[in-house]
Amino acid sequence: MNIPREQRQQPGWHVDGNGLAGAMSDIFGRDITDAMGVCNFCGNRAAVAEVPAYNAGPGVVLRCAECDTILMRWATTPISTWLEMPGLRSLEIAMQP
Amino acid sequence: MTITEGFVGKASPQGVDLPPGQHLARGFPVLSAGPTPLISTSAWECTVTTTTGHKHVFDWTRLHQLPAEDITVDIHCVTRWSKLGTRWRGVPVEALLADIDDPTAAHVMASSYGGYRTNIPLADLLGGRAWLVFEYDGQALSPEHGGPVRLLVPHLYLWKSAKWITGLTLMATDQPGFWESLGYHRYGDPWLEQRHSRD
Amino acid sequence: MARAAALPRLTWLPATISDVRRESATATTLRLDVDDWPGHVPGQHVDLRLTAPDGYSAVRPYSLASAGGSGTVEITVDTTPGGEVSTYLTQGARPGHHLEIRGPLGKWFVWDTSDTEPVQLIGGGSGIVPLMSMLRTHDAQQHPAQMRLLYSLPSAVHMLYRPELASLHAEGTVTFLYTRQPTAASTRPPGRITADDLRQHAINPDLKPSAFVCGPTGFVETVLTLLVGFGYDPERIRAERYGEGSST
Repeated sequence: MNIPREQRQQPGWHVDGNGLAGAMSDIFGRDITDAMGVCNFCGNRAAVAEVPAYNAGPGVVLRCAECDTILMRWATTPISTWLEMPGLRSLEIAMQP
Repeated sequence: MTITEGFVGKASPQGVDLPPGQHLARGFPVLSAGPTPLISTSAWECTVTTTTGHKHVFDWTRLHQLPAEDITVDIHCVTRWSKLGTRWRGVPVEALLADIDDPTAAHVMASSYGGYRTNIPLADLLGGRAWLVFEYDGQALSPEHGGPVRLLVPHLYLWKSAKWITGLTLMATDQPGFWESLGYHRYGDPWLEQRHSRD
Repeated sequence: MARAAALPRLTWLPATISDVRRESATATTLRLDVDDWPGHVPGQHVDLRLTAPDGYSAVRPYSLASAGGSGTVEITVDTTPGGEVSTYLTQGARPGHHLEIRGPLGKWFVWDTSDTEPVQLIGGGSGIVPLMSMLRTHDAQQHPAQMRLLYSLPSAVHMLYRPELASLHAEGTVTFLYTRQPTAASTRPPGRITADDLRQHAINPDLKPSAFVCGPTGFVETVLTLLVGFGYDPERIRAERYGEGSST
């Protein structure tokens, strides 16, 4: 369930995925800010760097900039990181040169 | 380990009784997993759904027909800040459930505008330990803190106090909510430091 | 745009503060000595990790201000009220202090110096920091591409990198947009950036410029709308949002 545009308060409490490059490298083993993600709900395609990221909470939530669908979310406990990618249709990661 | 000289981190308070691992917040931090919904009081409603699927809808008017009370409590966020003596006004959750006959209910899924969910044992919402609140510090509850109406369950970590509350679904068995399905504790008692699922 | 250079495996490296410079009434520039620093591309950032004697540690991202390829690691930090990390970095940090650094990070909001198309930079508040790295890189390399900066800030006392930007302003490379208190020499009424500001001071969209926009989320959203309305190609605009009203 997403929030209709007219009910959304701007500005939101989010940063860009860009600022989470380091945190995501802990999960993916590399900087994926230039990877291109496609939203499974609306089909919007965007670089991970420009995806709105809500990180003031127990975990981190990346949402589609167009429709707010949760693309990816994770939380880190002392012994593991829990990762979900419920709304990500695909993630295109460029080969390392 | 590299120690940064002169960096004190979170200053620990003297003579204040806080749950383990907590420090005092400055101000009132806003924590959010998504955009802040703007819900007018006329559009707001909260639906109580029983285990048999019966729905009881409370809108702003009906909520205010229930007896409200002033509440002063300490709140504890799993991100390690606590805030003491916060003042709220709201209706005990018990008042919404008073006329609902659902003997098989043992757990509740609280749900929010925007899709957030969190699970709480039904017993923890009863006995004057949980409220639907609509005022903070003498003012109408602001959207960033969960207005027009949020759940307040101060004896559990604050992620259980769902902002922008719109549903209380009674359940016979426990189900994990938004953070509980991502490694956070099912119950979340700050005094037992139940942060994560294996704590 | 071509991609940034390949990055080595990301690990935490020990760093020593070698210089602390006040940049404005509220902001401080820190220079860090890092052994084996691989260098960075302008626009990139680093994560800093600070650890207190009691074991509490905090990680925060900071944009690099120094020129890419220079080997110099400099960040500029503005005070966030109540923020324990920014309070230390702007008030407590001294040369000789130790911390940890991870990076460089970010492969999207980067200026590739092999590109020769014109570059329009637009920064709001401390969003100037990664754009300054681009300007300094451009300057150090005597880069042939046209580069301009629009810098939105409350008033002159908030200006970062004042000596450098003043001389670039004199050359016509930099325009200051004051939101609250203009200088005596300024004819523009104070206020947020407008379509008029772009028409007067930004690189003409007919020249097919790329653009980098950085600042608070609301500022960035406003500028993106204005740039596209002005005729900039959305595919050539890259943005970095610092968030709004951060509580940490």
